[in-house]
Amino acid sequence: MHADFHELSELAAGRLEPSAHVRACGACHAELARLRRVRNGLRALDPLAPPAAGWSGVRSRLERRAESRAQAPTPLAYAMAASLLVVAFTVTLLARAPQESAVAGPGAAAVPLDGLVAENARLEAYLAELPQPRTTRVGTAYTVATLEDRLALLDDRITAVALEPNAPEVAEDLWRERVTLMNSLVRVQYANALASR
Amino acid sequence: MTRFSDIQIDADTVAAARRGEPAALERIYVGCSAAVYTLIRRLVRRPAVAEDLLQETFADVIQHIGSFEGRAPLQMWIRSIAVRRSLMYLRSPWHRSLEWLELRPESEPTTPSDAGRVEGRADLEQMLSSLPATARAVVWLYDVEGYTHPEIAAALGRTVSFSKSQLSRAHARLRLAFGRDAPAPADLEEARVCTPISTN
Repeated sequence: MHADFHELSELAAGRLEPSAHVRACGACHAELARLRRVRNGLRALDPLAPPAAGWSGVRSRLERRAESRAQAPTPLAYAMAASLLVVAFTVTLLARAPQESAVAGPGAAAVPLDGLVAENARLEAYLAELPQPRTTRVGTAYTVATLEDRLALLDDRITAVALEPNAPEVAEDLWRERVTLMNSLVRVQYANALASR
Repeated sequence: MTRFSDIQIDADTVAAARRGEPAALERIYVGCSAAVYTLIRRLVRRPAVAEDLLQETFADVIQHIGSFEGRAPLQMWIRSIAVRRSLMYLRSPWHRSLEWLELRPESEPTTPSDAGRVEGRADLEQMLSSLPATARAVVWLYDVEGYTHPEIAAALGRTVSFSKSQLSRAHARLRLAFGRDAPAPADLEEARVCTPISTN
C-alpha cells in the first residue's frame, strides 16, 4: 500500500525515516520528490522587504500604548462592565443559544485533553459558520473584542506549553479555560447574528 | 537575514535588551525585522495589515522582553509572537469581513538581491497567495517554519487532524504550481503493483 500524504509530508520534513515500501516504490518516491520540490520552492521564495520606517513606527506604537494605559479605566471597571454584559446576554439568550458544550461546566474536569481540543475545534467550526451580522452594537463589539483578546492570550500560553511542555494538567487547564471562553464567544456571536436579522 | 534559523543575536545584546537599552532593542529589530515581516506577509496578504502587525509584534517584544527566559533562542520567541499576532488577525471578524479585499494582493518591492525570479517561483508565490488564509498559514508554518502539526493545532486552537487536512488540501492546490502532471499517492490507490526504483 502506498504511503499516505501525511507520511510523505513528514518524510519531506525529515521527521521520519522512509519505510522499505517508500524506498522501493517509484510512485511514492516521485510524490516525495514533488513534496520536497514544493517545500524547497516555498523556502526559496523571495524575502519581502520590511517598511523603511519600521523602527520609528514601533516606537510610535509603544508611545501610543503608554498613553492608552495612562488613560484607560481601571481593570476593575473593565471587569464590572464585562460581567454586566455577560450576565445580560446570558439571561436574555439562554433559551435561544446553541446546544451547550459537552465539556464546559461542572463535569469538565473529567474530560481528557483530546476531548477538550476536539470541543474547541467544534466550537471554532460553529463560530465560523455563523452568519456575519449586518450591524453590531458597540457594547457587543466590545464584548467580542474582550473575549478574543482573552482567547489570544490563552493561545499564547497554550503555544508556550506545547513548545516547552510542562505538567499535562497545565495544558488541560488551559484548554478547559479555552472551551469556556469559546462558549461565551459563540453565545455572544449567536445572539448578535440573531439580533441583526 | 530573512530566515529565523540564520539569525544570530549575541548574548550581550539580549542582556542589554532585557535591561531596556534602546540601542540593543533597535539592533534586534534590524536583525529580525525582515524575517518577521516576511513571515507575517506569508500569513497575511495585505501589506498595510502586515506592517501594522510587524509594529505590534515588536511592540510586544519590547514590552515583554523582560520576561523572556531564554529557554529558546530570542528570534524563535519573537517568531512565536509574530505567529500569534498574525493568527489573531486572521481569526478576527474584522479580517473575515474584509477577506474579499485580499483576493487581489497588492504589489510591493522585494529585496534587491532577489531580482530576476524564475517563472516557477512566481507561480508558486501566486498559488500560495491564492490559498485560503488558514490553509496558507498551515502550509507556511509546517513547510517553511518547521512547526509540527501539534504546534500548529495549538496555535490555531484547532485539532491535529484539522492541521493535517489543511496541509493536504493546500498541497493539492500547490500541486498546480509544481509537478502538475504528477498524481498523488491517493490517486494511485488503483495501482496494484509498485514500480521499483532499484532492482538490487
